[in-house]
Amino acid sequence: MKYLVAFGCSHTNGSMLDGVNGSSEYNVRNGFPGILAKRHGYELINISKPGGSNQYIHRSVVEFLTHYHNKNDDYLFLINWTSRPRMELRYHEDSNCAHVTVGDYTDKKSVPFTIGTNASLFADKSVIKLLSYSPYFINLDVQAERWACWVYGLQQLLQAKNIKYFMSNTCEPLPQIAENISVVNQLNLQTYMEPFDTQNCMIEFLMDQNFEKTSCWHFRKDGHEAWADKLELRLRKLRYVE
Amino acid sequence: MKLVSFGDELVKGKASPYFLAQMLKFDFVDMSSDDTCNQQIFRDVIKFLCEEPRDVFILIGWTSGNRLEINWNNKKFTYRPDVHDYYDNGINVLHDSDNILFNDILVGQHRASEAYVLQEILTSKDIPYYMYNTQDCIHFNEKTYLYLRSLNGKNYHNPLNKESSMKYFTQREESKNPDLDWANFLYDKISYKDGK
Repeated sequence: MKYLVAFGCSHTNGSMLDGVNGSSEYNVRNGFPGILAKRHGYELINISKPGGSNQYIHRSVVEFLTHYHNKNDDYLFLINWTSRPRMELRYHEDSNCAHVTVGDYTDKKSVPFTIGTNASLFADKSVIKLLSYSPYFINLDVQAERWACWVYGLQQLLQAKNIKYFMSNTCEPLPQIAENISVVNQLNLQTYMEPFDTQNCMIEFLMDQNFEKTSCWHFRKDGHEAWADKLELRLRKLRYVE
Repeated sequence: MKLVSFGDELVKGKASPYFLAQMLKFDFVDMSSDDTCNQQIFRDVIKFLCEEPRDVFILIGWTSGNRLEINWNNKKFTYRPDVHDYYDNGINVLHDSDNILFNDILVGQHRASEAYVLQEILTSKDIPYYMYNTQDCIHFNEKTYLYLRSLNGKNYHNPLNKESSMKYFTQREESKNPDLDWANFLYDKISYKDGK
């Protein structure tokens, strides 16, 4: 079997694709990962979560490899990094709290946490209390350092396992700072689309092309088609697709 | 050959990695640091690997999972659930959310993920290495089981058992020289000796 496995945040999840839902089965199957999968004969596995952090994305790639990867199948991983002010939290197993989203292999206890999130999205007071203090433990420079290390780690891991992969940014470019520059210099720019360039992030690229965005900065079907076209060009260069 | 040691304050300076390097007749490079956390150790190892090191044996002492790096009014340190005497009492408000910040399943998943990635990179680069826990273990349950099963146990001393960590081993042995005893223990465990 051929699988396109997509990892990411709300943009990969297709949030608001239908104009209504932050997360729905239709959105998950018909965003840019689904468009690319259909065009090239892949089964889609969409492991994304609205609000998902780069920490979540890194973990979910490792989780897929250690839990679901089958050596006899053919995979193309699309890893779509998100913005920095985010981390992953988790509700206690014994609590009634859940964060329900649609996607493959979802875990309702995993909570995406972003600086400045509306408190009503959280079901546990302990998480809500953290909102006021989140800039203290989500430092953006540290996040840039961590992001570069996660990219490098996955790049080496997937290369060693001979798994086809392609990375892009949806929300913001990867900052180049003193703390991460030695790692950034080792990133494979063939398999990570212009990581430092704002104009090559999904949001900025589609806004430059005058695609209409929703009030929560998401895009409809035409935007996803355009982003899929852009990724497809690079996938062709790598000979991942015909 | 150089033994390059990563870890926390328990393994810094003339501690067990230093003695292990002597036993192995390797030069010693100390990359450990005070008040670090596992996320920082992961980044330190990645940065070191980006320098394409040669002729190195990498020793990684993972620290407690209950450490979160914070930047409180430009002071960087790790926040811990068992510490209350911070320089600014305001930091203690975070304790209300310790159950969320240090969810043992999620901490275990992240910790195992990063250990797994490093193991795979080190193996692919043909760099000999050994990992151990300095003071606790990775939480084992059905949500962490498959991550843990993927770790190479031959090169990571019993990550699931707190009593197998350096701190508990040396306390149990009631050692007069715990650093030397742990170095001896690691010497017996690691298979990479005399360049083989």
